[in-house]
Amino acid sequence: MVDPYLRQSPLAHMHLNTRPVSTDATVWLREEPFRTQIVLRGNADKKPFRDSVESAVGCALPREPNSVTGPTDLNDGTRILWLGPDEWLLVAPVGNEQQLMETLADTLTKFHAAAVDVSESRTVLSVGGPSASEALAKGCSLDLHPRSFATGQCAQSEIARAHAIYHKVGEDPVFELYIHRSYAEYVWMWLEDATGEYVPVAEG
Amino acid sequence: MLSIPCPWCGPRDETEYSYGGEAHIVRPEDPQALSDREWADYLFMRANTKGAHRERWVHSHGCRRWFNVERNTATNEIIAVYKMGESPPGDGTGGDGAP
Repeated sequence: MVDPYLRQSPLAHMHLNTRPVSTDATVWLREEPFRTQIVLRGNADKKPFRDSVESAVGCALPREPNSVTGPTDLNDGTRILWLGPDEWLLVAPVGNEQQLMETLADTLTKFHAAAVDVSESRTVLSVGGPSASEALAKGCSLDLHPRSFATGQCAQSEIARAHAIYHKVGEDPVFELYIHRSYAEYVWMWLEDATGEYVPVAEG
Repeated sequence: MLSIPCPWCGPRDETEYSYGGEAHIVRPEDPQALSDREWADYLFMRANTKGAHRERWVHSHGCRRWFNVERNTATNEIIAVYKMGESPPGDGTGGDGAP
């Protein structure tokens, strides 16, 4: 893990927190940097492995493709996103990587499994508001309609040809996109462009 | 654009996948015992099928798993999708294996 004082968001140079906020836009964007992210690999067919992870992390391993387990509010604990039949992404609030890695290291010694801290590899871009699905659809081949992409579901796909993990966290809707940090600036600028039409232009 | 059903993630656009060539090519048990011609056969020679073709794909922008697809190379119809290690359904002609 990177020492916190060296840590810099991939969008730090854009000074997002100094920008004006439009209150009547129907879509909003936000960066949520530095989230704890750990990739876990292991054999989910083995019940002892599933049980150990569940007791160490506090929520069960999702086995249904593209599903998520864990609390709705990230501050209440750790979420687990399904990435593959033997691969998961553990997501926790900022600053939990060391404690979580130590817990997993103690738990996983008995199993053929791996846990890798990848917190620095991706940043999270939140896209929300009534027009969020419509804006994302410009660069996404997934069907984001609630009938096929339910709240609490995740999917790995592309956004404007860049790899992304989608997680629908809110009914409004609110999507969290996990974007590799080298693509973060590109995706942010693409999103600004794609959502521009939903932000009313100030008159005068 | 093809819509390919990943055995785990369901139907996704072709752009999320990468193609892996012909499926079910088994590496010889003892390469040392092969003649150059047999080894070259294994390395380079592939069927150039018109019609039902069993091939490998990887869901590279999704779950990153390899799987097998039986596809009609003339019409691009996806006849079957099955996981690695599973035996292919049908008789390889695009039919259901019935005589």
